[in-house]
Amino acid sequence: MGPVSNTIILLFLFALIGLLYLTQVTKTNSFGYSINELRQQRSQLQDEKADLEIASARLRSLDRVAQSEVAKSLVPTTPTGTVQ
Amino acid sequence: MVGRLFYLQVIRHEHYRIAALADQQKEYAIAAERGIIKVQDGGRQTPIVLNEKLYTLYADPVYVKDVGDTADKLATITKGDAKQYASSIKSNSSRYVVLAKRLSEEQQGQVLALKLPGVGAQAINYRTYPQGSLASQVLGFVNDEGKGSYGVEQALNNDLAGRAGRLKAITDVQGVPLAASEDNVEISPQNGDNVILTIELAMQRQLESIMKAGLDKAKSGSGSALIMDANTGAVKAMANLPTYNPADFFNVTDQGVFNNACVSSPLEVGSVMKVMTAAAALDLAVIKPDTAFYDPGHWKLNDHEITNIEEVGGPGTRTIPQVLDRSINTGAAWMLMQMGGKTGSVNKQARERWYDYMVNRYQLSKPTGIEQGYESGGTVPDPNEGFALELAYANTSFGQAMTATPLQMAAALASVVNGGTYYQPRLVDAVAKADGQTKKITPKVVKKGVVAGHVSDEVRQMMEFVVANHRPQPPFASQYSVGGKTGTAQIANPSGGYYKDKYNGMYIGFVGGDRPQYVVVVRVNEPKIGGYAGSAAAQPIFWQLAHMLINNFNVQPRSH
Repeated sequence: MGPVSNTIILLFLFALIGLLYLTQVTKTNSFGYSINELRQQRSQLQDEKADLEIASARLRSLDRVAQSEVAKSLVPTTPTGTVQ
Repeated sequence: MVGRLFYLQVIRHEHYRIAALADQQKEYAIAAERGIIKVQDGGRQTPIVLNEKLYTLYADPVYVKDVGDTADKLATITKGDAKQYASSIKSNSSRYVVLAKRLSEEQQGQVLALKLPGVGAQAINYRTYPQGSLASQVLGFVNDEGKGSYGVEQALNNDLAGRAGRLKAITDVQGVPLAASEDNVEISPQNGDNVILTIELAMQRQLESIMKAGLDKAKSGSGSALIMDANTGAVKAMANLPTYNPADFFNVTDQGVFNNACVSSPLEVGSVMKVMTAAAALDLAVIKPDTAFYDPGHWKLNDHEITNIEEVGGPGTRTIPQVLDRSINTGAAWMLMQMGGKTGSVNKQARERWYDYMVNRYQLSKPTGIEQGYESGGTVPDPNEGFALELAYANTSFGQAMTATPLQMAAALASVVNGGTYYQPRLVDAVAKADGQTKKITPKVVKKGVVAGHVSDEVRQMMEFVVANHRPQPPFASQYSVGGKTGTAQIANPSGGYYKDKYNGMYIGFVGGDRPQYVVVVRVNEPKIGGYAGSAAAQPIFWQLAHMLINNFNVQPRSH
């Protein structure tokens, strides 16, 4: 093969390598979107968890428990530590 | 053209690289989540401060098209004032006009669904309090700058706040980071520590209820009370009235209510100090529990008379338990005089010895180091410097001319009745790190041998004698050990001397069986009912609290 053929082959190889590089970079960057999506999902789940914790704490608050039907139906008993 | 390309791509490479990076590279701060606060709930822990994502509604007046219509629509969702919104948008003072704060997720969704030009909602983490105003002054709040103010939030701000992270990345046009850049930097945020307090939820609630009822009955506008574990220094309940809701701190007009008066507001404690004077004199072996002495009914020191309340009567022979039971000022001064070995004078030796007990053993005049903002140390006069020292020191023997916080008195009393160990008062039981590790806080011994063991027993018996003689209603069952002492202190007038008609009531006491389990301190400011403030206003609150502890909090009765 002469010098022209060599040059063409080299240019082709460079182009091929460049193309490979670009496909890989594009593919890698596309992971960025997946990562971003997963981050958003994680953030949403964390928010939901926090909301549930707050709801749970509010449901167990002393004011709410004191005003519940169960609490209202309780009857007083004689304290054991008190002399009547 | 080749030359131009060479110039742009090689010679000017750095310039264009920086210009491109400035456009493509973005830097974000990743907020750390503030740690939550939990309290004890009968053997488990329950959150009392949490984080809630709420939304701040804002407008950019440049892009708002129909101000009136926008304001009306927003006000319908937020239940706000449409006129106020319209006025804020028209003022055009900024490109970021805050219209409303703390909108819920649902409200935020409704606002965004309207697609109003120039209107947006920004997510912000706020503190939320499932138990409302309970223990508000112990907790403190987080201000609009995200900084802890007052209480635990202030004292432990650095631990609770955590450290923000950072993301520096090449992004696409929408700001999404691209994964392929080797220049990307991501530093994860370090979330704040979760703090677990020693506060017992149900006890705190009952303390606040009993105190409120007690203050109403005593016609007092304010007061404080706390319950401490006598054998560890752990504060189990602590409250002040009036109080506030920390979720609404920005609506509070009197900032005085932010203070935890139990730790930040020292006062002349009055006759409760006689217990400490008796303990010091017993420990120095200058008196015995059965010592009887002649009380002249008054002492003249530095040309001033020290006298007693009318009910004590004139001169006579007294015993040490009587000094506490009948709250005899001249008896307390007499015990102090014995520390210097000379009746009739509070000499240098008496002052220095008593100062040593107050400062180096009872730890008065020093902040305790409890995890609270704005703690005050109180004052104890110097034994050798100052005016009218004999009189001043005689006054300290019954709790005047010196100041201490209710917390200091609780810790000092605990050290006297628990056998002689001063534990540092604390509110933190454990710290849970973001990595999952939990560090349990162990009781810290500040001083051992505050008083001898036998002195501790003797003082307990005397305090039990005082309670029995004051006939609590209902009385306490004999298998429990309940002791206490009243205190009524005149209030210092800022322009000199004391008010003739203004008093604070105090009560210090303990509850237990073979050994004291809880120490209780009650303070009632300026009660407006008849009788002495300590016995008429503070003592009934203590009785109620003691019964509450015995009935609900597993006080171990005497073994025989």
